[in-house]
Amino acid sequence: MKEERLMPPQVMTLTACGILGIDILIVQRDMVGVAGQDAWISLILGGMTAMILGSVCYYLAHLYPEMDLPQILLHIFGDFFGRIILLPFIVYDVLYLGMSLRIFAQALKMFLLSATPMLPIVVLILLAAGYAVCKGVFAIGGIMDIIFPLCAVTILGILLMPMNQIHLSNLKPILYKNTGNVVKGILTGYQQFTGYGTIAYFYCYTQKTKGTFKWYLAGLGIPIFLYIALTLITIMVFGPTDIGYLTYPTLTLAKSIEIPGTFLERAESFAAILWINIVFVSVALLLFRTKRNFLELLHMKTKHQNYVIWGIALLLIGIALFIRSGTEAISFFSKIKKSSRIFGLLIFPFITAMGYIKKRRETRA
Amino acid sequence: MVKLLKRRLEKKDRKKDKKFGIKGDTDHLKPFRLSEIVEDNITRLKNSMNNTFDIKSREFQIGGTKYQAAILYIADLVNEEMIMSHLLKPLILQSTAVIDSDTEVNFQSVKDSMLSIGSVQEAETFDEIVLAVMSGDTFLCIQGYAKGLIVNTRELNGKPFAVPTVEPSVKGPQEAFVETLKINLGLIRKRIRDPNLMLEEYKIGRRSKSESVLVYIKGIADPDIVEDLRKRLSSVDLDMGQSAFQIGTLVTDRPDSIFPQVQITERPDKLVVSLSEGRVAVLTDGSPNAILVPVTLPILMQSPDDYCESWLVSSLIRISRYVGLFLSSLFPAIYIAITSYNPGMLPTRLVLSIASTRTGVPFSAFIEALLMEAVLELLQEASIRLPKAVGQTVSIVGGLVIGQSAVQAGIVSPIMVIVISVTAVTSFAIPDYSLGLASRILRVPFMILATTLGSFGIAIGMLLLLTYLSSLKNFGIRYLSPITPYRFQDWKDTVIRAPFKDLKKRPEFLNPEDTERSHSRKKEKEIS
Repeated sequence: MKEERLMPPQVMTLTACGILGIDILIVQRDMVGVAGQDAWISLILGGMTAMILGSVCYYLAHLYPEMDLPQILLHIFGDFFGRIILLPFIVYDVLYLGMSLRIFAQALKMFLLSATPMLPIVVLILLAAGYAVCKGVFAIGGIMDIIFPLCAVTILGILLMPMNQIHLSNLKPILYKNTGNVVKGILTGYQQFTGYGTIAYFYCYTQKTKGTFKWYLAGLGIPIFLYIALTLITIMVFGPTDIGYLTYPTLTLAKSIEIPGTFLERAESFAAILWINIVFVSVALLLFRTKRNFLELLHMKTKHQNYVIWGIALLLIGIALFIRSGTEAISFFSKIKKSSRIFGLLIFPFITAMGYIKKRRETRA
Repeated sequence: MVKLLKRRLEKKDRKKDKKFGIKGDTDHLKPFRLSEIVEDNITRLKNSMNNTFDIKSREFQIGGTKYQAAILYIADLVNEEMIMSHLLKPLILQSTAVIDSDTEVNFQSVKDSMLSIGSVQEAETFDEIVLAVMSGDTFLCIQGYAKGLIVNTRELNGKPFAVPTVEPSVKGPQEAFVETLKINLGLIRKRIRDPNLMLEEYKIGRRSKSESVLVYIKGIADPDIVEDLRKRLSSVDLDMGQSAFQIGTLVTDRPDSIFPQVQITERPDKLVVSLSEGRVAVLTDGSPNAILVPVTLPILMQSPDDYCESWLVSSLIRISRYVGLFLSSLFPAIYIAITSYNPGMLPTRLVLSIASTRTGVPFSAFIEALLMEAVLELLQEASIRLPKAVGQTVSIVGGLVIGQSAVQAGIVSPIMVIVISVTAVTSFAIPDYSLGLASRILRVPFMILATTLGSFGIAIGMLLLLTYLSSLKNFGIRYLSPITPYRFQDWKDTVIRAPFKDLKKRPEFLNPEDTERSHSRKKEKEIS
């Protein structure tokens, strides 16, 4: 049988699903908090930064086409230093994943399961994601291929439905005495898209063709477009001041949609169900990354991966339920997210530069 | 010199075939002519038809003479009785009478005086002979003559065939396989006159020694899949190999899956189309079904009727089938989740209407649905087991009388009867019976998830199911192919069915050797 490889279009869905995640519920609040009504401009600039740095990340994966990130690290920096550099990735992924689960459970309780405790929600989503990771990269690719278009269409629906409620005046004044904040907001905007690093874990399984990079750029571009549009519409519907008071602006936007006379009058539950899928893909991808990192860190064989996956799942349950207060959890999550800038702006370009030098030396030798 | 010329022609043909994939055509045999040596002709003809086990030949001497002759035919397509009595008998036994009458025995006299068969034609080139033999004619050649006779011995019209009962079609052919392997192979041969149609025989069952035949088209089917299936068939260890399904279960990777891992068909037309797409079939003597591999979910959602309507109509019907599959598994669960957890999603009037119909019903929506589901399954099972006429009565009694009485007695609500009835109807829209069964099995777990966790439970269930389906592989092909991994070219005949003019390529996901179904005139000009 021929060796199985991910198809180039799957690079698009995997990259996009790596970027979309729990943030989709709160991106507007984070952005408006920094850049006010001009948040969408910051997001555009942040998106452009992500495209450039994402290309750097792609280049790193392209340098070592048969290795994933932990293997690349060990190859470039050696067994000891490679593992040292791998550690921050593991800590970030585990904390981000744990807090994502927490925020997810909180939001779900608010909109769908008010009487259900958080534990079963976290356990069930981890169970589904863990099962997907156990089934391997090609199963994950298949799930993303189906879920991604559904999610994209749902988000587009959420964007188009409240068109009758938008007020263009909420966007004004554009860039008036706010340029400094817009510039500050570029970093906040950029951090929403740092999920592009997923390519470094999947590129080695991909069929390499000329079009793969284009698909990757499409995978980066689609979530950037959706986030910008979502922020723009939310600002136009609620205004920058009100967004600051909304816990989950995207769900509130969906809640504002009423479809009188149709079978489903309110769309927020429907949106929440599809949002479960978005969180699932994000959790599955992060869990896969964490599993790979742990396997390389502990020098374990692939046949033991299931123990690693379920071990990480137990750790994540603990992290998700550790903080009691919901507000504190959101605040901690924001801090973790901020640290993603360090990876995207410093660590990845550094690794790429070192990888380039190493590769050149290898080629010469 | 001739050999050199032939070799060059063969080389040119191979090049042509490789480039445009026309291996199935007999045109490339045109330059090959018969020789004067009978043995040589028979061997070469057999080789050009890939020497499958059903190609029979018989060499003999024309009675009372030194003339050697031979016949060649395909056993599944001919009337062997006719060959015996009107071809072999006159040539071997009664030819002495012709000789006694001082008629010179030569090619012309054999043609004119010895064969008591309606249609006899002369042939010199391989292409016409191969095409005729594959159509059910018998080829006769005589030593010393670089030409032969094509004798009409076709018998297909007289052979019995069944009408499809499990896979009925409105406009498609109304032929189905029967229990006799020979007739079934004939039904396939009748539709594919391709010398590359390969038939490989296997004896399965230590005691039963049932004949099974592996069928594929060489040059189209992925050799890896063929080889894999060959190995699996060879390793089947059964006491009694009886049904195609039994063998199918033994050759799959995941025999425990509730989703069909082999496609079972009773339709020769469906099998032939599948072979032309690059799939492989197994037929077993004594079984009126064939198994087809590899199988994927989108393949199971296709019906022969899709190709008998305009592309737009077919596409809409296909989409409705997918909706049917979704509702068949999930509709009761969605009803339970919405009414129990998220009634706010529905319009207020509808919620009030549902609530009023449920007044006085002693059970929760879940128990109610479970009861109705159990009754529905029992009714379906009963109607299958009973004779056709009584089966219809059971359906009427079950559907109308029991349903109506249950509502009037206040055991179930009218809305639940509607929900379960709609679910039952949607499950009938699924073209593959085994897939319909899988969707029925899934209903209960989804209902449990809906009653415990509402729509979140359904979403989790769907994700687990999706993961399972994405991980399933069938002979190296992903079960959700070509929906995922994305193969845009193959989407033309997946959820929708594009116009025939756009279906020029075979499904890529099946890794066919020859990817082109048809090639443009421009390309043909290029090769000529």
